Amino acid sequence: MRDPRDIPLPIRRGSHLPREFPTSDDRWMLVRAYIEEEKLVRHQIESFNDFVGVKLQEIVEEFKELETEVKGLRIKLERIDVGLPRVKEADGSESPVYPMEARLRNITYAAPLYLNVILYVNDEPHQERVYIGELPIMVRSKKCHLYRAKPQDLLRRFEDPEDFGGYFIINGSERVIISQEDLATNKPIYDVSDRASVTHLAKVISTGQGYKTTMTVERHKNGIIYVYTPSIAARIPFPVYMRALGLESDEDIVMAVSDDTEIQKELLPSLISASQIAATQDDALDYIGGRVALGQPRPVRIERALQTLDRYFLPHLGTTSSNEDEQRDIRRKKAIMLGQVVKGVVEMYLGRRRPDDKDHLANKRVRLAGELMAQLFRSIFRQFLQEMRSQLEKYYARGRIPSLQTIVRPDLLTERLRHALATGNWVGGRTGVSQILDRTNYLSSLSHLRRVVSTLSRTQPHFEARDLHPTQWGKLCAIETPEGQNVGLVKNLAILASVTVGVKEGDVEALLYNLGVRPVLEARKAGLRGSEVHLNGRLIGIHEAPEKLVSTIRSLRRAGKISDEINIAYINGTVYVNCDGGRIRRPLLVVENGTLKLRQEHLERLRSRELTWTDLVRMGIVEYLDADEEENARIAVDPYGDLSNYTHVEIIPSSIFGAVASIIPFPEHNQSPRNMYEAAMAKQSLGVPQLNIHYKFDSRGHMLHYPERPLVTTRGIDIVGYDKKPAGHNAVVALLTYTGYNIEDAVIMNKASVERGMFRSTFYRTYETEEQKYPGGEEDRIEVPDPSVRGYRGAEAYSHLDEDGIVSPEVYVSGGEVLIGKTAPPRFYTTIETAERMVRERRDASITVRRGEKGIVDKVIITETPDGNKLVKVRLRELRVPELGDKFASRHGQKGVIGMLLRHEDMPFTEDGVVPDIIVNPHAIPSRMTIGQLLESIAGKIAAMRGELIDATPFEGISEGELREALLKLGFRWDGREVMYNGITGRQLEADIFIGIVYYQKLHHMVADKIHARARGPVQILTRQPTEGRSREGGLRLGEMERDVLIAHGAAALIHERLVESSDKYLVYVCEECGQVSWWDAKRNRPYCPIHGEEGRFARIVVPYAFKLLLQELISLGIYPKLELTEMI
Amino acid sequence: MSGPGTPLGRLRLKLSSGKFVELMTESGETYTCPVCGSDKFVFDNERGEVVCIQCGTIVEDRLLDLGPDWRAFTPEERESRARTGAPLTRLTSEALTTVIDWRDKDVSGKELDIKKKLEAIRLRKWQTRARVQTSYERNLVQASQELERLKSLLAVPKQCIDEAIEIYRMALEKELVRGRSVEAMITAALYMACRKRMIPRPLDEITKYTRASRKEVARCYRLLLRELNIRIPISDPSTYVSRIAEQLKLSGDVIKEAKKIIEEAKKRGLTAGKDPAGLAAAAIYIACLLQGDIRTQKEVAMAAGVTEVTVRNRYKELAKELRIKVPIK
Repeated sequence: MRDPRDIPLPIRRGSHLPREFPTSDDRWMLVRAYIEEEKLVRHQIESFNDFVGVKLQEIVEEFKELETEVKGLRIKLERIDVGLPRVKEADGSESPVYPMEARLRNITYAAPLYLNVILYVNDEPHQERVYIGELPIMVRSKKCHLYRAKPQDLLRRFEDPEDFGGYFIINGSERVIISQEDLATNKPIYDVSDRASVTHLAKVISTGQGYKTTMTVERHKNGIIYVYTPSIAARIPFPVYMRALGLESDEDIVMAVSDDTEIQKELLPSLISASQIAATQDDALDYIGGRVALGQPRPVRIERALQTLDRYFLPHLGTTSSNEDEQRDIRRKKAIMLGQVVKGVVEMYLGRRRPDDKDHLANKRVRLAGELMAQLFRSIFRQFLQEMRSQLEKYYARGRIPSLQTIVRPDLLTERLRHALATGNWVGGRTGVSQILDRTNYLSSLSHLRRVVSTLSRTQPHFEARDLHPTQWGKLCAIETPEGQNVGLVKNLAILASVTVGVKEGDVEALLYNLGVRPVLEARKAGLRGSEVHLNGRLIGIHEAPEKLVSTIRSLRRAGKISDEINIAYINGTVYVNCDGGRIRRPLLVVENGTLKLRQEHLERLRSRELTWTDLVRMGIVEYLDADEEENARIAVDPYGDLSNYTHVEIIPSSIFGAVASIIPFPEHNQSPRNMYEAAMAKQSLGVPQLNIHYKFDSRGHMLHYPERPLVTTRGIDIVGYDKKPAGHNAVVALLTYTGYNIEDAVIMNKASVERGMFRSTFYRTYETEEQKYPGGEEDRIEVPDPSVRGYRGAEAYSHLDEDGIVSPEVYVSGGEVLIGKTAPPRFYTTIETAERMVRERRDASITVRRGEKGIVDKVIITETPDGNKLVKVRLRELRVPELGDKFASRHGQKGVIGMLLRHEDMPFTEDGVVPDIIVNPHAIPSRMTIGQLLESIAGKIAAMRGELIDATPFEGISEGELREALLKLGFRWDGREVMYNGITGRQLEADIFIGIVYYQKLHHMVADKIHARARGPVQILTRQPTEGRSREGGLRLGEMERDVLIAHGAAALIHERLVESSDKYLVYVCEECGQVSWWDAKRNRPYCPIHGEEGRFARIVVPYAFKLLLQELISLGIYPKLELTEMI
Repeated sequence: MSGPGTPLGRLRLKLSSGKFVELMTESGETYTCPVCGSDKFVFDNERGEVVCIQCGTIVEDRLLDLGPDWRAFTPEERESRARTGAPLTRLTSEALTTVIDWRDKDVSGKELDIKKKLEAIRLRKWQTRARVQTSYERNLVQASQELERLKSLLAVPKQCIDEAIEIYRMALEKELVRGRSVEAMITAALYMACRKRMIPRPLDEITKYTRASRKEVARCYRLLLRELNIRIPISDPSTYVSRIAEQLKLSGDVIKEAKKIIEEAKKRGLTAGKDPAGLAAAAIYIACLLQGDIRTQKEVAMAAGVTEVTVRNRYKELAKELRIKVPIK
C-alpha cells in the first residue's frame, strides 16, 4: 500500500536559479543521498555500535588480569559478549523483549553481558563464561531486535517506521544521552596567563584508560619553564621531568624541544635551575619522588617517582608495560610530548605563535552516547571486578574454589548502569547526561537526539564560548539555541554534520612513518629541515616535504585507500593529522584543478541507485573536512563560474542550519533573533509525534487532529521529513486591527474555522499503579475499596470502577474521581506473627484524576512487571478545542494568544468572500521585521490559488519579484493587499488589507492547563502562609517588588491586608514582663508564660505566623528575642 | 485567623464518613453550624475548607495543607526530594545507625593526612562493631548478604527476598539456625518464600547457586516448615507452564492449551500429590500434540527438570482421565 503522504505535489521553485550543472535539484539530491544513508540520528547509533562492538572489549582488555593476594590465584579476562535484549520474568523464564513491550511494561530494554574468564588456581586454568549483568541497549542499534528491520516488521512490532531510534528505554521511559561538548583532550592548548608571575602557559588534558589528568606548562617571569601535574603537586622545571623520563643530557633535552637556536636560548634559565636540582636521571627521579613519597628512603622515592610518571603523567601515551623496551618507548614519547609543549610556550613568548582559540571547533570534541557509556561502564566495571576479587579471596581463604558465577554480583553492574541512565547522573559528577526524550512532536524528538551541550559551567558568563564561532559553519546550527542562561551553550548539529567515531591511531602513525615522516629526535639530530607532523595533537616527527605529505594523504583518502575519517591540515608550517573520535565534520564537494569532481553521470547513477553516498565518498567526489582541515580549504558557496581559486564547493548553502531551523521559510528575510524564537517554538508545537501514538502510554502527550503540511515549503522540510509529520495548519491570515481584541500580540480567530476542526487537538495523560507485595504476606489490592478502608473517598468517587477495580474505557471522568481503586496494607513493617494478630485496617491508595483535569478513558492496559506485580495503566484523553488564551505562532517567531473567537459573520471579508481564519495585528510586523512572514503570506496565497507548493528554501527560494508577478497574474494586487469589508457593519474597511496564507502552529501552552484563581484556600504547615502553585490551590504571591510599590504609595493598610490579614495572621499572647511569646493553656483557657507562668502580664497581639516562627527559631539557636510592647499610636 | 495547633484549627474531628464529617469543639461538645444548626459538614481538603452540608456556610477555612511542600514529576525527583517515609530495608529498620564513609576525604574533598586516616580507620572499625552488637544481628547481616547474592543470580523478585529475610529472622529467634549452616538455612528460607509467593523456583535450581548441598537445604526447609508453622500454598502446576514453554520456545496457543488442561485436571482432582513440574510437563506435551507443534517427551522432560518416565506417566493419566484424543503421528 502506498503512503498517501508519498504522493508528490507540484512545487514551484525560484526561476532565478542557475540552470547549469549542478543545479539546485542536483545538489539537494546529494543531500537526500546523504540523509538516506547517514540517517538523522546516525551519530547516536553509530557511536553506540562502536561502544558495543569495539570499546566494550577494549575496556575489558584494559584490565586484562586480576591478581589476587594469593599466589597462583588470578583471573584472566577474555572476550565479553553482548546478547540480545530480553526480560527475566518473575517466574524465572526469559524471553526476548521488543521496545514496545519494554515501554508498556516499564521494563528496561537491556541485554545480558557475558564475560569469558579463565580462573587460575595454582596456575591451573579453569575456563568459565560468566553472566555479569544487563546492558541497556539503544533502540535501533546493532544489538536491538529492530536493527535493520523492514517497515512491515516495524509495524508488526508496533513501531513507527519513521521513528529514528537512538534512545534507550529505562524502566519504560525513553531516555536520550545528550552529546557533550568538551575541550579536546590529549592535545596542548596554549594560552597567555592572567597571573602576573606567569607569562605564558599551556595545558594538556590527558585521558587514557580511565584516568584524566591535566599537565600545565608555565613560563614564569624569570624565564624558567615549570611543569605542574596534580599527582605531583609541585612546580618543577621541565628539564627535571625530561631527565626523569630518560633524556639525561642537556643536549637531548634541548633537542627534544627544538633545533632552533633562538628557542634553545630561551631554555637556558630552566636548564640552569634544573641542573641545580638534579643532574642525572636518578637524581631527577629522587627529586620527583620526594614530592610523592615523603620521608621515604631514596630507592623507594625513585621507584615511586617512576610509578607516578608512568601512571599519572600524560597517561594517554601509555602507562605501564611489562615489556622493558616498550616502557622505555612510552617514557620517551612522554618526554617528547613535554618538549613539544615547552616549544609552544617559548614560541608564544617569542611572538611566533598566538594563543589558541579555545572556541575554535578544532579544539573541541563531542562525546557521544557511546563514549559516555564507555566512561560509565569502565568505572562500574572496575568496581565490579574489585568486588569479584575480594569475594574470591574470601572464599579461597575458606578453602573452597568456587565457580566464579556464584561469587559475582551481576545485579550490582545492572543496577548501577540502570541508575545512571535513569537519573542522568554520570561518573565525574555530571548531571543531566540522560534526559527523557521530548515527544511533543516529530521535530522536538529529532532535535533532542541531535543536541550538543557544552560542559562549561552555566553560571559563569563565558561570553566568547556562547558566541557563534566561524568554525561552526555547517557543523552546528547557526540559529537553534535557547535564549537565556543556556544561550550558546546548548547547540544542535547542522543538517549535514557528522561526528567521527575514531580510527586506530597506531595504524595512522605507521602510515605517516611510511610516507617519510622521521621521528623527532632522529630528524633533529640529523639536522633535517622540514615541518613538524602532529598526530592527534602529538608531535610524532618531521617531514621534509610537508606539502607533498599532505597532498599524498589527501589523494589516498580520495582514492578510498585510507579511512575517510583521517583529516590532514597544513597550518603555519605545521602538519596536523587527526583521526580521533568526536570531531564534528561536514561533507563538501571536491574541486580538483579548478573543476568539480562531481559529474552529471554520477548524479544519474545516484538517481538510478547504482551509486550511493558512500561510493561518492570513496571516489573522492565528496569529502569530509574537520575544523582543522577546513582552515586549509577555500570553499566556494556556489559551484558556478571560475573555481580555480577554490578547493571545495559547498554542497548546499542552507546546510548551515539544523533540523529545526530548516523548516523556516524565507529565514534570510527575517531579523535573526526571530528565527531563533521560531526554532524554540517549533519544538512546542502540536502535531502527531508518532504514528504509533495510540499504542503508547506516554505520561502526557498531545496530538493535533488534522495536521497539514505547509503550503510554503523548504527543501529542508522534505529532507527532515517534516512534511510527513507536520505540526500546524495553513491559515488565512489577515493583518489588521479589528475590534481591538488583537492588541498586544493577541490574535482573533474565526470561530467557524475552529468549529470546523482547525487546531483541534487531543491531550493524553496516563495514570498508572502497581500492585506491590510486602513481606509478611501483605500486598496491595487493586479492587473497589470497601467503605471501611481508611481514607475512603465516598461511594461517588468510585462509581466508575468495574468489579476489577479499574475504570472501563470510554467513561467520562473528572478531577478527584478514581481511575484505579487500590487498597494498601498499613504503612509499617509487619512480621508474619504480628500480621495475623493485627487489625486489618487497610488504607486507600487509589489513583484519582488530577484535580482540575477531566477526560474520557481512552485505553486501559493490565500487565505484569518483571517483578511479577500487576501493573495497570489508564490513559485519559481530552479534546482541546482552541479557546480564549491558547497560544499560537507562525514560523517566524511571531507568537500570540487568542484574544477573541469571533463569529464567522462578524469577521471581515474580501470581495471574493474570503474570510480570514486568523486576524493578526499589523503592529506585530514593523519592529520585529519578520519580512519572511509577509513573503510566506503572499507565497501561501499563490500556492492555494494555483494548487502547487511554493519553495521558500533559504538563499534559493522563490524571489519577491516572482511572487508579485504571480499575484498579478492571478488577478490580485501586486502588494498582496485586498479590499475588505467590515463583517459587523458591512462597510468597506478604509485601508486595504494584507491577506494571505501563513502556516500557523498551536503551541502546547494552553489555558486549560493553567487557569487558576484563589480567594481562600489551604495554608502551609510550617509558615501558615498560603500554599504555592496551581496544583495545591495556591495563592499568587505579592512579592518584594510589589510590596515596594505599596510602600512607596504609603498604602499601609493595603500592605497589612495582603501580608498579614490575608496571609498568616496569628494571635499570640506576649508576656510584658519578659517579652516572650507565651503558650495557651487549653485546660484553663488562659495564656501561660514560659518564665512567669500564670503570673505574667499578658498582651494580645496580632503578628504574622512567620514572625512567631522566627522568634522560636531564634530561641532554638540560644538567642533570647525580647518583645517590648508599647501602646498602639 | 486560625488558632494554635491542629490542622482543623479550633475544631476536632469527631466522626468521618465518606460523605460528611462531624466536628467537636475543644471542650468536646458537638459543633453545629452557626447559621443553620446542622452538625454535618463537608471537609474539602483541596480547597482547605469545612463547609456546612445544609446551608453552605464556610465554618472553617485556611486548613493546613498536609501534603509535601515539594513537587515531583518523576519517581527520581520524588526519591531525591522526599525526606520521610517507611524504612526501605528490613535490616536498618530496628534502629537508625550511622555509617562512616570509606573515603578518606574531608568535606572539601581533600585527602586526609595519614594520622587522621588511621584515626578514621579505627573509628570505622569500632563503628561497625558497635553497630552490630549481638551475634543474632551479625548472623542476620551475614545471611542477608548471602541472600543478596542469590537474588542477583536467580532473579527473584524483591518481595520474595523480603519474605525470605523475614522467615530467616523468625528461624533465628527460635534458635533454629544454631548448629546449621547459614547458607543452607537462608537458601531454605528463600525457597520457602518463593513457594509462599507462588513464584516457582525448583529446589534444584536454587541449590545450584548455593554452596550448601541440596540435601542440607531440603532438611532445613522441612525444619522450617515444621517449627515455624507457616502455611505454604500447594504449588500450582500452571505456574510452571510458562517457564517450560519458554525453554521449548512454544507459542502462546500451546501455553493456553496447557493451562486449560491443568485447570481441567485440577477440577477432577488429578493433581493432588503429584509433582507440579511433572504435571506441567505432561500438560505441555499434550498441548503440543494437540496444537501440532510437536516436542519429544525427552525435550519436555529436560526443560521441566523431570524424568521422561514421569512425563509419560502423567501424560497417560491425563489423556485417559480427561478423555483427550491425542492425534497419533
